[in-house]
Amino acid sequence: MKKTTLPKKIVTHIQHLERIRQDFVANVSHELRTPLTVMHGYLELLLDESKLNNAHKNIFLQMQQQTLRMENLVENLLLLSRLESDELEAKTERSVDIVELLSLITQEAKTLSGAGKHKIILSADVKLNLMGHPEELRSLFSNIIFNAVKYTPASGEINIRWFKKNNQAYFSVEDTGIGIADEHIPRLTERFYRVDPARSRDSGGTGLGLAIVKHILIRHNAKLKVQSEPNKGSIFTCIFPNKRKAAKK
Amino acid sequence: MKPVTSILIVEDETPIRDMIKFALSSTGFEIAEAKDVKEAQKEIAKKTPDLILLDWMLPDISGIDFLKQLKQQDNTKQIRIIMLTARAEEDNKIKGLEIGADDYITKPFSPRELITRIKTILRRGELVAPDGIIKIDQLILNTQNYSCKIANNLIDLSKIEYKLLYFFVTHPNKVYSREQLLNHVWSNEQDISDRTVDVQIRRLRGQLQPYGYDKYIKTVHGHGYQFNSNPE
Repeated sequence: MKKTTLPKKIVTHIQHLERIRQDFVANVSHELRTPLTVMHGYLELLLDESKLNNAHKNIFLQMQQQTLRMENLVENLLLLSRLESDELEAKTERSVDIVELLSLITQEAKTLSGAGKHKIILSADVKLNLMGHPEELRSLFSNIIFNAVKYTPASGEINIRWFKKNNQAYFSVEDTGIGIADEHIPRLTERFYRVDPARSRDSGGTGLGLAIVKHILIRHNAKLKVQSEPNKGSIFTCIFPNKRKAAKK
Repeated sequence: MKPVTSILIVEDETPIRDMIKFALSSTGFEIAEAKDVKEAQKEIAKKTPDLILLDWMLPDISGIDFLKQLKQQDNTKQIRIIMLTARAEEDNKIKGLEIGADDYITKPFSPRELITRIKTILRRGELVAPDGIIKIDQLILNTQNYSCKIANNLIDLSKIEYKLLYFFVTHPNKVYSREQLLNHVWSNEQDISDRTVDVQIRRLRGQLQPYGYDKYIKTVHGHGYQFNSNPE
């Protein structure tokens, strides 16, 4: 439904409600910082106490994990609300070294994989930079790459590629993971949409990753393409237009 | 006997103040606390702290305005400041660094990381003399006339090279990512990229290399750069 065909009064009202929703989410997330700061701090200090027995240590470890999970959720909610409100200024954009960024994220992905021993391969065009917001791009690439790790069984293969094609810049992540059925693909970037709730909660996901990806792509004039087949794997591709490309100095 | 270092915590949330006090209890620092700027000023009048942990959002006067005040008064401008910021405050963080805060840490934070940053910033005190001269072996940085000499030879540094060297020398023995270096040294400039940091590091090293002082700036692969005050 195109907004331009609705009466102005209704459009204004919708925008007003959107505003209220975004502010509410931002305010709640903001307010959670203090409790999380206190818990994060004390739990780290308690775990450093060497005189804990194993049972107590485990309890505090679980509390710490859950606290980190809450922190991730809050951080994602805040990022999403900032992206939605269009308040991030263009002046924070600059030429970002994508190869370096992807190398760093690939390292983190290997740590995330841990005992899973996934084969993670990065092939990147060294001379291809991108005009954009560094923190957002980091979020964008991390979300897609970590998803590939989370949804690919142990010893699976993940191929990360960064290259130029048809005068555009391509970022793609191909995995040999569990894949996604056709009916889910159009809904993937919806907030909290879960293909399989049990599996995604186990992997510690917040359900906001792809919604964040969607917004960051819009802000970088880019688009997302998802190709997948259940049990065969998936390919997530982000295509950035020519004007976003930058050469490395 | 070495005087005890005193730290003032300025934070309006009591549980966070308590948590920080507990974290610092094993360090041997003398701790003072304040829940707003008014109380902070009373504490400073009682005894000037060596370092202030300054929360950004305080009830009476904002953290940034208090920071400006501190930097403008002669008796407080030397106090080192670490800002306690929230995730969403990118611009404030950079503004704070421009006004003269020494570093920042974002809530929620690791107490271990906070203590490391405090110790790093305090180490600067061992290097800066009252007349604004910083000495590392034979390298002398004069913060009054922004000059740099090694073994009495004047090194012709550009403005950015000086700023970068000054940052390293006052934040020794800790790794900083390119992003952090950009925040601290370049502030809000456009048309810069992570590569700008690499280029300036290379140039700075080139200036220091004839005297063997390039080895003080270490590349930590995958993380960034670090200034070693005692390189092997």
